[in-house]
Amino acid sequence: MEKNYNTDNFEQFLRETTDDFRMYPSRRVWHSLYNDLHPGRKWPSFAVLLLLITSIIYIGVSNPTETGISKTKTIPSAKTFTSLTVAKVSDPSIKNNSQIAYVNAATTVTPSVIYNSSSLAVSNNIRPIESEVLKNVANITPGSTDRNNISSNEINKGSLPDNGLAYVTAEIKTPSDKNFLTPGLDNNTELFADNGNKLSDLLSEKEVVKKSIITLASTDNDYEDKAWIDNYLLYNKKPSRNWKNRMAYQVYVTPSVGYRTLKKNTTYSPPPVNSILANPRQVNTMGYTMNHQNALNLEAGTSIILNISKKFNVKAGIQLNYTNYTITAYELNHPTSTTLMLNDLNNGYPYLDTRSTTIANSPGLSSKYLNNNTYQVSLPVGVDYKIAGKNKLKWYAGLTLQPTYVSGGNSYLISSDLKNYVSGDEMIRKLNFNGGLETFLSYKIKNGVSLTAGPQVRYQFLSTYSKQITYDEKLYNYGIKLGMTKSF
Amino acid sequence: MTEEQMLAGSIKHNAAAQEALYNRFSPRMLGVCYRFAKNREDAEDMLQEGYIKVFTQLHQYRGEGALEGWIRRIVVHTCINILKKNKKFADSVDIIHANSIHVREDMIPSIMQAKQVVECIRQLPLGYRTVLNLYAIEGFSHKEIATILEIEESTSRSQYTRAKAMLEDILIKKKIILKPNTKVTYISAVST
Repeated sequence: MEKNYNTDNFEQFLRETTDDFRMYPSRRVWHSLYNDLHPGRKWPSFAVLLLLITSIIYIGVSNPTETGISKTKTIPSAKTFTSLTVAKVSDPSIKNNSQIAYVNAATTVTPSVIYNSSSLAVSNNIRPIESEVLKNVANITPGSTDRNNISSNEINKGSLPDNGLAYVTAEIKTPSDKNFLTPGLDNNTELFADNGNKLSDLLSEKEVVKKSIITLASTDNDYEDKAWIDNYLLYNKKPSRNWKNRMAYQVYVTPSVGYRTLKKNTTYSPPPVNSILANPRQVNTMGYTMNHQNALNLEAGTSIILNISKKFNVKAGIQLNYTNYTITAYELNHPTSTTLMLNDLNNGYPYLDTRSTTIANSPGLSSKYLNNNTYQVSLPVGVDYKIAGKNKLKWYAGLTLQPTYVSGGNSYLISSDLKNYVSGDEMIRKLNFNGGLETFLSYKIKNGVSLTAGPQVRYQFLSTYSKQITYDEKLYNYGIKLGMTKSF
Repeated sequence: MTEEQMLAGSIKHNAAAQEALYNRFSPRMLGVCYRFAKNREDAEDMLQEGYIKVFTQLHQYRGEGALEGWIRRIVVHTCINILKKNKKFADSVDIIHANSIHVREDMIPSIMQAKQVVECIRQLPLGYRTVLNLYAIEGFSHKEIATILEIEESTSRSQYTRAKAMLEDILIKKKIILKPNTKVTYISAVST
């Protein structure tokens, strides 16, 4: 609908038109407001971040990558169990109904050892059977777990090599009729070695098992023993590698030389206008027009390193960064009016923002050095890969991703006609994202302390400035990372 | 939740009431901030600052006049204070832009009618824009504007005159208003 006004109604027209204008703020505003109003109840973004880092570390700690059983432990108060230890249970030639277990006759067997054997990387249908066999060999009460669905009523093979390993092959018939299944081995079950000798005799000869190996516990004690075993397993889990042995902290400092790249901001693509910065060719030739030089940058930080395998470490930490490059400019006698070409984020069109400045890009009264610098806090998360090395000297390659908060800095932006520089600190993007690539040598000295040194490249993935600026500036630097690592 | 409940709850620092109060008026207040700000991000920062003041001073609201008007007054003052903190603002208000700024057809955004006028206002240089916003839309007098912006009253008047002329120029080029002979016809964005 159209309404006509005379010129006196200009204010009224504006008021009526703009009064109905509404914009919907992003949720970020409310979250920030909430944090300001309720400082004790911070919006959970920080908590979520902490939780994420903690979870990563926890998963790393609680999932040791070792496969197979390399060590076994002795139970000091292991009831009346016979002395056997599972040394290794795996054989690709195992058939579904023929299971193999190696029983080290020289050491002490424990329930935990037997149950730990079930954690080996063997197929599901093999695992319960071998556990059952071993359980009976070890005189542990059958029927203590759901594995008693296995009926072992015939074990007719076995051998005891000279190296002290009892090699038991158990052929187990598993009838389809579930009612037939009985928990554990039959009381009359006997193990035989390949040569026909009874396994109990063989083991007796080795003087490992003093009394009957295969004596099944009475069913009256089943539940009592089951409870005991469950309880034992609960409190005597096979310990994973001590986290202290696998974790270390590192402090480091990285002096570097930093510079930037410039290219047209393609996020918002304005139509061609008579402006220099809206013209890609002009942007691409800015490097020839402006006199910029690299400068000293600095990083310092600390990180927690978790060894997840022989080759890989993961790490997370906090890092302070100072980025910097210099601009050669000239001082003017008087302030001059100039313009910045900015993108309007709402419609993608450029507009001229008028600024006042006393700094020229072309020769003026006297030369002046400007610093475009930023102060950043980042949270590097990454991985190190050990390329080579043993004992004291190791060679690593590492990669980090660094969510970065830019806490401040100085920025001088080139005007739309390239003739002036204007201060544009408020145009610096607050949140950015960096990546680091490094390789370093680590030399262990003593008391778990290692010294590290190596080259590093750091690159900023997002432009230094907000999307309003019509060109993208990406910072990068090359440096030497010097660090000290100490295990916990 | 009624306005009274939101008010009472917000004074007691009840988060739900505060959020309801925020949700009720924030779209319009962000529209106000947007007219003063350089971009949307700045406008949201202004809105946040403004609402912090609103919530911390809410107990001073006596119920005289509409709550929205009271909030709007605080938000506008917050916008001005933020602009004044920026050193370029003082320069911008005093510099005569008439010779350095030329309105080009291609600079005027082609967007929906409801937002067109606001976007045209935002094409004005900062000094013009601020004075025009305060005088024409927010209803401040030139004397009040001079006090708020710490400029001469005559400066406020001259800035407004130039701002109005430039805005009319933009609106005419955008065909939002027509200027047959001496009578300007405004085509309102208000629809029924």
